[in-house]
Amino acid sequence: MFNPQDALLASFIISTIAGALRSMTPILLTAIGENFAESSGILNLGTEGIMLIAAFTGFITTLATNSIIFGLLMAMLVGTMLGLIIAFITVTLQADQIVTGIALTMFSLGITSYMVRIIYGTGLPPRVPSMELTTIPLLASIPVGPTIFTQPFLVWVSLILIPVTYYILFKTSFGLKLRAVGEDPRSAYKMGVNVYLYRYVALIIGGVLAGLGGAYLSLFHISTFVDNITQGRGWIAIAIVMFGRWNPLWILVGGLIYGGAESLSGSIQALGVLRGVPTEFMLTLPYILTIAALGILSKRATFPAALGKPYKKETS
Amino acid sequence: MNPLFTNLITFIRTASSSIIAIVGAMIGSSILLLLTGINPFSVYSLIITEATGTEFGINKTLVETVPFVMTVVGLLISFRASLWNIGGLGQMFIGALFANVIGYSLGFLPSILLIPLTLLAGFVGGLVWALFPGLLKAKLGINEIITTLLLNFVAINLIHFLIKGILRNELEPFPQTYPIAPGAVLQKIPGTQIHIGIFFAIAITIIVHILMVKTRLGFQIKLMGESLKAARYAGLPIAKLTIVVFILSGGIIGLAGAIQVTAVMKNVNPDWNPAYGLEAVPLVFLSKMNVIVAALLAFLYSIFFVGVDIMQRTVGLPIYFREVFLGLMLTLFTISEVTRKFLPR
Repeated sequence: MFNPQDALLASFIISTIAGALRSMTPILLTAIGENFAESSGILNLGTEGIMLIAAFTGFITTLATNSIIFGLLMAMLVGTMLGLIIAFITVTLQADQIVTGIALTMFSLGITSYMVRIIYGTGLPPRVPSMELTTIPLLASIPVGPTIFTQPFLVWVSLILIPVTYYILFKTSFGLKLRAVGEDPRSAYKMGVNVYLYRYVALIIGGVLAGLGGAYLSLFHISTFVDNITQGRGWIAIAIVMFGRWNPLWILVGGLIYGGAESLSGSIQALGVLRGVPTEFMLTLPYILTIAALGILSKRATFPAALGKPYKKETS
Repeated sequence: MNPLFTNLITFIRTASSSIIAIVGAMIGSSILLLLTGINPFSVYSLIITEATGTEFGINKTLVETVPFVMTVVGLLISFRASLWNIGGLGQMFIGALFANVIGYSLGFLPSILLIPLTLLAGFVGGLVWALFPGLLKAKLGINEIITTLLLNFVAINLIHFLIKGILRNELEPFPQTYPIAPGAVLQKIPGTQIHIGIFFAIAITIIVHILMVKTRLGFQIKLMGESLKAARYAGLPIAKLTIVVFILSGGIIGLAGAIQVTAVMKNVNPDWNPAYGLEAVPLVFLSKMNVIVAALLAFLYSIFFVGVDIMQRTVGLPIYFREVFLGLMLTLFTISEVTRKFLPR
């Protein structure tokens, strides 16, 4: 017999899973990039800043060209440049990685909100056209399929990047050398690995992916730009890399926890199960769960040994 | 050589990165102003004249100095130990809310009891909010930058939830809390808008300065900050010290929130953005962890803060100009700190 309550519950679960995939994407993209940076020994705390500037650049470019592809390309370009700047400051100049990250984040928050005021005054920025959805052919034809398997293509990109990153880091010579640079740069150097080059490459990969993560927020997640659009997602990505112990497969688990929490807090309100519990209370859920996840799994963490320490080239 | 001259040389050597950072940030932010069609000379001269040239401006600057000074001092205790408390925003918010609740609900008490209790509540509020990341760091080694920062977002949402829910003042059309009792209000210095909280800020600065340079605890904090390894070899109780540092740091910032409530705002509303917790961060680095210098920088920054705030209302200069300035300043500071070692001595 058809039970309307069961149908409601089923649609609730399906839409929550679909939402979790969408909420997870910007975190996952940024966290994968951060995994490269941290595996090479650089703690890049500038992810929030890169996401903010890329979100703004992607948004402005898409408005100007009416093309989301151009918007994404510009966001990746800006991410590359910011990755290069961070690499120059922390690798070549060997500046403090923590201070550099905080400084970049502060500057990014300032410059993006400043530019929004300059361009749009006190009004709201316009909306961008929605990103096209991509359907996974076979899976979308199963009963729960259409909602879950029809998503913006970046969702699929972020999921594909998980096994790809795992393969690169653990099965290729590039990944082996990258991790060697993060564990013991001195020995890696003696074995003929160009430590600076590997760290530059890792930070640029981090910049590109954080750029994509940021652009996803303004071009798809809310389809416009608002002040501090990232809402700490860059920091959550760093938390998830630590939770995931520099292993992309565990990063996916962390991403699912965050994405699930964000999606659940949205769909519970939509369903009205907890009527009277204001939005704000549910909004704390993703942050609290991220911190809790960090706490529960932290004991198993094995840091890349040289993480956070600048490496000085031997001159002899 | 003339001792005055050698002193001057030493000062310039020590302060060079900070001076380069401030001047560089002024130049960099001026370029941004020029690019966006605003005359930087008029902005900077207006900032100074608005914040220091009128009675309104001077009063406002000295009122804003109080939370800034207390926040830099609170943050400095943790930064000195190489513990990066970036959660000042949340700690101040929770401190303000605790003070608000006590100042309202114990309003029947005489001022002599009520004011200390209200301020203590603020200290406890900030302390509690800093204790979570402190414990996570001390017991599990979880990165405190991440936890303190994420707890800012939790604090903001939690407070909005409480103000719109159980703490809402039913007499007001817009969500806000009930104001503190008149007996809990910190008085103003007669003839000015400046409240006596400024004496608290001065006292805290002096106390923490003495704590850092004269006491065993201060020495231990410094040792821990300079080398965790050395501190371990010396047998310092690292976990205990970590918790003490977070308690002091968060407590002082919470107290600053309590002073904002008892002297300036009287209640808490969701529009309040205690940005002091974040904007004070670069100032602590620029002070090179010297409490007195940090407090002086906080005072100077208050001029800039108030100047930009007034200009937002008069000529529409976006207040986010401040974060651009601070971000540039901190970047240039960290760069000039390291480039010195590449230069010949």
